[in-house]
Amino acid sequence: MNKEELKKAILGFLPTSTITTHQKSMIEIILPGMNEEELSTLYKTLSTEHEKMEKLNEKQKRAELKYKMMVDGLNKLKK
Amino acid sequence: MAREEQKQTAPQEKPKEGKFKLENIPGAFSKALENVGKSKDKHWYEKIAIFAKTFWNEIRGIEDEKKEVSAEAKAEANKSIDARVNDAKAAAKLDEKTPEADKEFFNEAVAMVATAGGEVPVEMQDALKSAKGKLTDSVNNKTPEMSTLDEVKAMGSLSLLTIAKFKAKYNDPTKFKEALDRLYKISDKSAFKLEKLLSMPVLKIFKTEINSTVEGIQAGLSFIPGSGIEKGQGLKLLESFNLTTDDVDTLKGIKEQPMKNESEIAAVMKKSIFPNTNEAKIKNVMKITNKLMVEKPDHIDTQTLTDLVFNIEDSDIKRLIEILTGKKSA
Repeated sequence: MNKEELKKAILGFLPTSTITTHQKSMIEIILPGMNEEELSTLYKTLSTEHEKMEKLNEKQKRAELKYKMMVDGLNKLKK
Repeated sequence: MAREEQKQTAPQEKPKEGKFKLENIPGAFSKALENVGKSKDKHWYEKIAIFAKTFWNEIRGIEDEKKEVSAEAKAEANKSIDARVNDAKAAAKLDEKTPEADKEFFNEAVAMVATAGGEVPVEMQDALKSAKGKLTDSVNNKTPEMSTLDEVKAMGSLSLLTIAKFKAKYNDPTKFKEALDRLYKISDKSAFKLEKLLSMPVLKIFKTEINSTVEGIQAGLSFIPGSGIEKGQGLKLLESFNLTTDDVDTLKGIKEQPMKNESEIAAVMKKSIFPNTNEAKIKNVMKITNKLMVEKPDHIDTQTLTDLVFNIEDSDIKRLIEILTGKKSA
């Protein structure tokens, strides 16, 4: 990815990232002045977080679905 | 693992309605089910509670993993941020006892200045460095040498780039003024008190033996300080703004009380300085500038700065930056 693509991708990660609001503001402010190496490092940080969180969210979603299924099942047992 | 268990225990046929069987439940819930199974004499609601508690204990691990991922991202993001702004933060020397929210707000402003500094072209960085040195001397009550045209242009570019960033973040006059007021107050406990930076004795270092050429430009721009520069350099700058020497003579009327040639000044400003700003707003800028020049206050207050900034179109601020940084000629 070139510099502009990296900047765009970094900004794309910010809305869902769990870093603090202040960190997000700071990143938005310093982004125009960052060099390619700095951008790559930051991109890696945010993309790794995004990837891991996606997996965990999926895992949680599946677990919650199963939980709902169980509750429904127990409800039927009660009847 | 859970998926494997699910495969192994998955029912061959879909349980019939009303014939729900515990053994058909996926293995990931075995522990929860086991606990429910041990409590046959309990009421149905209690069984649900036992199940829920066991279940949530089981999935708490997911939340813990999320916290770890988040903490790691925050730490790494901090490294990236610190690498960019630590020097500027150190130079600003904000009182350590400042409340955290104020520190964060101040550091965002510092980051804006640092980023703006990085956006000043490489060939102007030396001039910017020496201009910053003179500014620091002046803030510390020393009397620096007169500024050169390059220093004035570099400092003007830095100021406008910072203002543009501040305006983009606090994008209405009320928010902008509130933010400036807050910055005035917080920066009072730092090495760069904003009120002092915008005081006339400090700004004066960028306004020296003014010849008529540059005085006119200063009158027009008000917050881009003038300079005691050679006439040749001044003319070069005039050309960048598409200003003639007659235009400059017209602009001089802005410092008179009452203002002289008001409509002519407005026309020159529209033609050469703020081509994208409407006439009514240009007249507001002229009134503010006139007041500053006639009343000569000790410093530019936050309301005046806000009024100036919001009466000038963003595209004109951008154009001024481009002219000062040599990226654009008229």
